[in-house]
Amino acid sequence: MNPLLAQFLVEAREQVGATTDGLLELERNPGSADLLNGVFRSVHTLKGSSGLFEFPALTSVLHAGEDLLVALREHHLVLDPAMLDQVLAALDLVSGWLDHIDDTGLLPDDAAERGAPVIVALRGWLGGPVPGAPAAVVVEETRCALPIWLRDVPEPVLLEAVERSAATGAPLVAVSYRPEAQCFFKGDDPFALIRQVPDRLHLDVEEPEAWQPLAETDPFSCVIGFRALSAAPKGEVQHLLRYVDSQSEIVEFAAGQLVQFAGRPSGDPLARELGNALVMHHERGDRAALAAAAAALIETFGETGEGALLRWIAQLAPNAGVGAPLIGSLVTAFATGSCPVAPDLPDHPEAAVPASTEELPQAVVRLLGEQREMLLAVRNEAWIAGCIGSAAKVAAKGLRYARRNAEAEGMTRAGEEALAAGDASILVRAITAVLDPGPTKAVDVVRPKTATSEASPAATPAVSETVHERASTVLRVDQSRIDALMNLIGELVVAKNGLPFLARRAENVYGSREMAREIKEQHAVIDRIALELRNSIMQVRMLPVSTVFQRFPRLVRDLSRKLGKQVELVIEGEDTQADKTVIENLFEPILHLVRNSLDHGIEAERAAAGKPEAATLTLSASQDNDQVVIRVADDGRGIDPVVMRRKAVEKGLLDEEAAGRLSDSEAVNLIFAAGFSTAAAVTDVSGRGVGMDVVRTTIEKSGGRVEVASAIGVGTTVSLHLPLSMAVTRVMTLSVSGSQFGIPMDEIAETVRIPRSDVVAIKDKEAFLLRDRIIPLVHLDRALSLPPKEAAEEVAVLVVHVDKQPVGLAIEAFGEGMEVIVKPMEGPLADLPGYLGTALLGDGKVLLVLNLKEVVE
Amino acid sequence: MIRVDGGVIRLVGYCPVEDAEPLLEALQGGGAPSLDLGGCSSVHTAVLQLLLASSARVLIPPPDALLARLLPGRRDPDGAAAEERARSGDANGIRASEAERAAETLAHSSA
Repeated sequence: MNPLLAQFLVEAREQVGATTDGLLELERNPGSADLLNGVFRSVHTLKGSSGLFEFPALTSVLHAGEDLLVALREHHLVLDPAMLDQVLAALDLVSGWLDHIDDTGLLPDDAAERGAPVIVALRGWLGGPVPGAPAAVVVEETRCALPIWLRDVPEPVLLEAVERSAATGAPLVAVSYRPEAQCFFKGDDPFALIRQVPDRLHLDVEEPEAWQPLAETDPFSCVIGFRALSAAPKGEVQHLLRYVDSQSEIVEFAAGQLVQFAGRPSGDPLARELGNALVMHHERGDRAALAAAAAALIETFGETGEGALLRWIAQLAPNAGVGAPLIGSLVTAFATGSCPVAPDLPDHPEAAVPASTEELPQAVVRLLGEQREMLLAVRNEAWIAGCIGSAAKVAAKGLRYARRNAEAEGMTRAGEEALAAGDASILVRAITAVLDPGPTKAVDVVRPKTATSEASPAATPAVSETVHERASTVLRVDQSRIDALMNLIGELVVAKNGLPFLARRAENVYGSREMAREIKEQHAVIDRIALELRNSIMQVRMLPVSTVFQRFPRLVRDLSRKLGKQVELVIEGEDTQADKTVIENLFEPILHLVRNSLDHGIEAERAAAGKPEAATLTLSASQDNDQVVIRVADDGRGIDPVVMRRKAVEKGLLDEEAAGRLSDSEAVNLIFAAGFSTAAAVTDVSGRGVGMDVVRTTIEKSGGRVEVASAIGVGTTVSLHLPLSMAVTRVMTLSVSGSQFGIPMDEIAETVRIPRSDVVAIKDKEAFLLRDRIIPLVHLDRALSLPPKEAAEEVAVLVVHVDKQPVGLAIEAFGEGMEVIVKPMEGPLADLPGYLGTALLGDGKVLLVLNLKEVVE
Repeated sequence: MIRVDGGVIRLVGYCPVEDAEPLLEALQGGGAPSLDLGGCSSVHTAVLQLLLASSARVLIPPPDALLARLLPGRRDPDGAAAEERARSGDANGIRASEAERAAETLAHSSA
């Protein structure tokens, strides 16, 4: 990619981010002139830079946004949340385009069409006539083009759709839903969702153009889409798909429009001859005769376009609800051999496409003219400083782009002077000096119409300068290099662990105590260095949780507005750091929890419960020893343990007795049980498939755990406990039937020795009593199918927690605790469920680390 | 849930997203695997797309009418014939979609 473009993309994403943050802040604090000024500057700079490239749609959208912000700044308009929605939507569109540009170097093909309604919406706030041919858009809305896939819908379904619509008089809705590839990780089940489309007439799968060979298929990447046809009101369908509205397209249309899919006549002369009879029947309004005549001809034409038209006529004519114009258009099509035209929708001449691709020969000139105009237009003293800074920057960039570096520097200096003096006229003079005498006139003439395709060249020179300054202290390193270092350190730790073995050999085999002592001393030194080395590398990989948290203000705002609830988001401890992999895995689970809180936790009618109207949702992060704890807390209605118990019994997860034995907090934790979530979460986000158990699985996969605490009427807090780093695991070794195994330390509760006589048999299971609690006993040798050892007087028991339940593991002997790097099983071993992985010990042996959950079950 | 008996892959009950990986492995298992969906009530999208992507033969179609319509022989050479049948004038298609809705209503009310 062109380096200029690459730089633009980097800068543009930053500007979009800054604008989004600024807008959200502005919503909370609408009076702040500084914020508004900052937002305006970001959008202005972004628009200016975009003009450097041939992205007319992008520039026009930004221009519309900028104009709206100018109106706000000059107090022509008052900030309205709906207005912010639209500006944010415009930014979403822009960042989508930026991604597309990043991938292909071009705007998407439909950019102009998708941009037009956004521009109209933005300009709508400004009142007055909307520049840029809004008529085209309006026409499109009433006469919305039908999705092309309707052509592939089976004929009987189309016919049924027409009849249904005729009976109710309501329009039809076509839904096209293309889930994003990563949607499964968000807990989405698109198939389950689309199945719930109310009054569904048709559902089909949109397959990818070519299926990947199975061997290369990623089963967790969604590649299919869905298309559905429904007779329900558009609003209902939109409500169902409200969480995936960016991935779905819902088009409402009159059933009559479907006739265009009835069939394409081949122009058979026979049809024209026979068609006259049909036309006569139709003109006399004799539907029954028309249907009979059409039915009689079906055989003759068979599987041609004419045959299809006849089938439509035969089916629809007897139905009095179907309008005459519709039948008429079918009959006409048959008789004239032309394609059927949708009735009662006059043909619109193709609306003129707004001319927006202006060439940029005078880009710099126009740009400078515009800056000057802006400076002259500003009357408000408070704004002038911001405007001078912004204008000087843009003007200098423009000149550098035109390779007039000396003038560019002069411009920067003039800007500084103007800023110092608080007088824009210095800068205006500087700009005029560059422009004068000729071009300014031209600028003034062109400006009102072509402002949309304004160009601001050379975002890059200035950017690369700043990057240059930063480069001296900050290094950007490819993650794979850090990973390679991490692996090497892992090997170093393993090699270092070999030294104590060597010391023992020196003493026992070669009889040199002196040597052994020296080796041990060296080991201590290397040990310390290895530890520090590991910590430093881990520091490099550390990221603040703010990288995840910063996405939530926007999300919470959008969701709460959608749900019509007032929610205040409080973020705490965003400086807390954790390993990159841990941080990256956090977004989906937190998103799930936040959604749940907003949808189910927070009451719709809070005043009735005596709570403040605005609910509080707290996202907090803190460090607890070697764990990072993320909390998502709301002050909503809380989870009722009684309901949870009942649901669990209804769902068949527990029998009544077991449910009764659960403590309240255990009952509340049932929401994480697989197969429970959908039931508990039905209220109105039903059918989002998997639920809280996904949160639990994701977190457990990262080596963490999830807890929930809730008080009815007070609120719910979900805590995610995650390891700071996933690279090193503390394990305890133990031996069973002469073999060594490892168990992750954080699953171990305690080690005890109990006399054999204390073990009691309950049915075919064994258990023992520990501090008045019955704990089931699992013989690890039997569980692993190892040869049993003869019974000893005492049994060594490791009490571990599996799914929060204590379980005793009868083993032969305890080993030691150590830090190891667990490598997952590979190749044919990957299917063995009982093991988390292997670790290399200092003496070169391989330690199998057990997955207790699987072993115990 | 996924079960593999010989060359036959059985889908039983509801197949959640977790079943996608074992199913993919089973489909790649060599030979020409075939599918028994007789006991399959519903599937997650991830499982559905694997069923669509594979060329495995469906021995017993699923009882769920919608699922059955989306799956059968979509990719085998007779696919066109199936399409033909659906298009042919009689009201089979409509009856099928009615049956499908009825089946779903039943499923909902029993759940």
